Amino acid sequence: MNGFYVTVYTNVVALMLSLGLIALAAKLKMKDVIEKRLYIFLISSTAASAFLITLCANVEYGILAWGKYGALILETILEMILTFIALIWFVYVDYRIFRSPDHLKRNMKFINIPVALVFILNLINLFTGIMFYYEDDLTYHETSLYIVCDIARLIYFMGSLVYLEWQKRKDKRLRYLSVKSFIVPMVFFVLLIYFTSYATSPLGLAIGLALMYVQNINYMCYQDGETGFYNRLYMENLKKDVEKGVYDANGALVFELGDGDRTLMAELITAQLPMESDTIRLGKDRIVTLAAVKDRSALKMLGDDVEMSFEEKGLSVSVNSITRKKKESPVEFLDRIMENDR
Amino acid sequence: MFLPLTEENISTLFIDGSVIMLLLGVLAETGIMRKRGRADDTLFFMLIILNILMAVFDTITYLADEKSFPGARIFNMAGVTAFYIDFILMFMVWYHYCLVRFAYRGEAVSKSHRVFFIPGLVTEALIIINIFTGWIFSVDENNIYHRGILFIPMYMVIAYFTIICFISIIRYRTNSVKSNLIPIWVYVLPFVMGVIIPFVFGGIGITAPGCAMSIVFTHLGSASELVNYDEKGGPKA
Amino acid sequence: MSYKMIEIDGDNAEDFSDYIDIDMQEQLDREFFRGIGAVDDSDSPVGAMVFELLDSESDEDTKSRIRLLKADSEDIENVILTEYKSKIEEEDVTESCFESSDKTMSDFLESNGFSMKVSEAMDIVLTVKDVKAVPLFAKERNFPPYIMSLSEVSAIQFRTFVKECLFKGHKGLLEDLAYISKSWFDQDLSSCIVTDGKVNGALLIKKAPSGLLFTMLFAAFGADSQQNLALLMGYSARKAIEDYPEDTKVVIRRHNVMVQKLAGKLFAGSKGEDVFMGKRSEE
Repeated sequence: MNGFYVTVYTNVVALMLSLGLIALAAKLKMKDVIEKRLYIFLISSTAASAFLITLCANVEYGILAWGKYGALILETILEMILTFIALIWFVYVDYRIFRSPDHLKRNMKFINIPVALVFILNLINLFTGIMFYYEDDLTYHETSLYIVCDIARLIYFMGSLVYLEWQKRKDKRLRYLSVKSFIVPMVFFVLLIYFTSYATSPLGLAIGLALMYVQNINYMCYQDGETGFYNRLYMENLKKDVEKGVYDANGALVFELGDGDRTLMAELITAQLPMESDTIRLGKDRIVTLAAVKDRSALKMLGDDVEMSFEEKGLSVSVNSITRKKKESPVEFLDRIMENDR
Repeated sequence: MFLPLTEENISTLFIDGSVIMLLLGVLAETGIMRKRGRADDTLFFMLIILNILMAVFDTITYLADEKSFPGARIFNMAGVTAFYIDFILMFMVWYHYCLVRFAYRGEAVSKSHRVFFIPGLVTEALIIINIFTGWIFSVDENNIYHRGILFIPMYMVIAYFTIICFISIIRYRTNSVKSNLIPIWVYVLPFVMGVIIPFVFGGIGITAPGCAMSIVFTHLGSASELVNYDEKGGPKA
Repeated sequence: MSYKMIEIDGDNAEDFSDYIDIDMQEQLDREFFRGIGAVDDSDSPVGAMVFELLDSESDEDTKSRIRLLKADSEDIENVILTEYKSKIEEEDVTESCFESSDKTMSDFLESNGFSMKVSEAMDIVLTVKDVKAVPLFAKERNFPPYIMSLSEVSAIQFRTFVKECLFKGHKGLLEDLAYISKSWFDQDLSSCIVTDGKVNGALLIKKAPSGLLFTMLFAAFGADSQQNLALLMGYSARKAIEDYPEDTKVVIRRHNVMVQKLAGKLFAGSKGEDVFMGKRSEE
């Protein structure tokens, strides 16, 4: 029974952790439904892999009498799921970066290549044993071709890390996004497999996904629940980024909301704003959008569109534009915006 | 072999190690992103540290239990004592955390709640006295662990704190504005399993991960609710 | 002889056609272009000046770029310049500049306090034949369905893209981007990338009345922006090759480092003509 208890315990813990995360994530109010679905898909696949490994262990150690072919089928499904998790993870990171379903669709044929290769090899393996096989006494063996599965997963996992770091240099919006919390435990547990032969990767995945969830929740604390915009806490952090030179703001539009449904008003404002604008709710009735541009005409154009859309819905809003003065530093400009709130 | 590792030992190492990794990761994430200086943040930090220590003490006891290397019995005794002290303390801190988070929304807890901590304080005193009396547990000359006459009462104190935490979560959650109805079992089930299974079956070290999961889920669950609770453009600072 | 100064705009620009070419006449309809015309006692045009205000709607120093100054005599030019001075004082202009191949104009401005140097122009003038000679554009190719001409994009989508550009500070050559409508650009030659129902990249080309093609804005944002820039270029280039005679002139203004590098790569060896550049402080 060497390795049985380790495998079962670690995967039962992984399963419990995954199920708990599914329950929490399912109830979490997230604006971006696609992101939420991808995340739940990831955790569900992790739970499934933990369950399958537990089943495999039971078959391999003769507790479940499913025989050699039962073990082989379970193992094949498991390998496909693990590679699929890697693919979904990459898709999840890509989506977090660009939030563009079209971009994903356009690039899926390239993104899918490693997983397609693994799937085909696994299907062939069912009949030929070219990657892994079981002997009659249910002893598991891997061939050198098995490395293809590992390489495919490595491409996705490490690729996501490299891709994100590269994009972060170009897009300051991504400065709060990090995938190291996921990659570190996942890599640690994958390495453990090589040194110990215990199938513990689902635990690494579950821990990584739990830490990503913590990161998301912490990030969501910068968001105003009613409108979905950032809140005053975010503005404080923004000032630090401005001091470091990571962020620049030269103009701002200030919306003073009249009476009415704040959520609807937020939707109307969001529909007119450029996708990546930093919009912050500074008070019950006060919303500010920051812009890199100093031109009042640009801000006016945006303000006019917001006013028109409010008018169409019978709601009231007053819009003012503020631009950074000639000798005013970006931090002083942000302070001025916040001071006007008091 | 100086320290022969049994199947149980390896399982415990993996599981306690993963608990430590999870909790350190949570600590890193919450420490980096948010420094609000609220009472519940400090309590949450204490919970994480106590849980990490629990995993460490758990590992020590499993590595030392039934071994014959020099000092194994002392390690075993010290490890189990520290484990139980940490365990009870963690439940007291957890109860305080639930009150601060759910009932008092980050503000100071009323003094009338102090009376509920008395059973915990008494149990802590008994665990220390146990070193000399063996009323809760003992480790014999062969370095084998045995439960004492006060073992079940000690677990009843744990059950007591579990119940009052559960009640405070249920009671004060329903009073919260725009409450996000996250299933209560997500908070409670992991540590109930982590506590009951070792109590019933013995020899299976899943207390630390059970508690860790419950702590993390409690934090995530209440943080999710706070995200949707808006007073004036953000969480109460 | 006395001269009267009048404001020239899109409505009366044609009256000054002896001094203002048809391309510049059209520019006078734009938000930041100003025209000063001199007329004699019989209200006949005797001279004109066109200048463009830069950074006038920000808190930066407003600058003025003199685009054209032409008159029947130096006296008239002096009168126009005096009127120009009073106009720019109203607009809080702190500096005037010019770039022109017209030696007469540059000599006159130099004698009126402008510093002057001869330099290579930022504009390079190519032909459609030069574009066709670029290997990247020479062959016919299939473009993905998400790249399309400006005519296929709605006014709302265009306006959202303009807002995106303005927010990010990308104006191209268009100080008045916020005021320009979609129809101002060439609808078939200008290309757009549409992602998730929104325009997230465009190459906007203006066909001037004289037939010259001007690239006015070239920007892409978000996912695959680098790849999209290449697609936009390729699409518009192919359209130009297919729909325009080879001798059609294309003007590319190398106003920033990115455009300079790109033009250098694609049209190696193409240089701008020598022009006179000058500036004068107005404070």
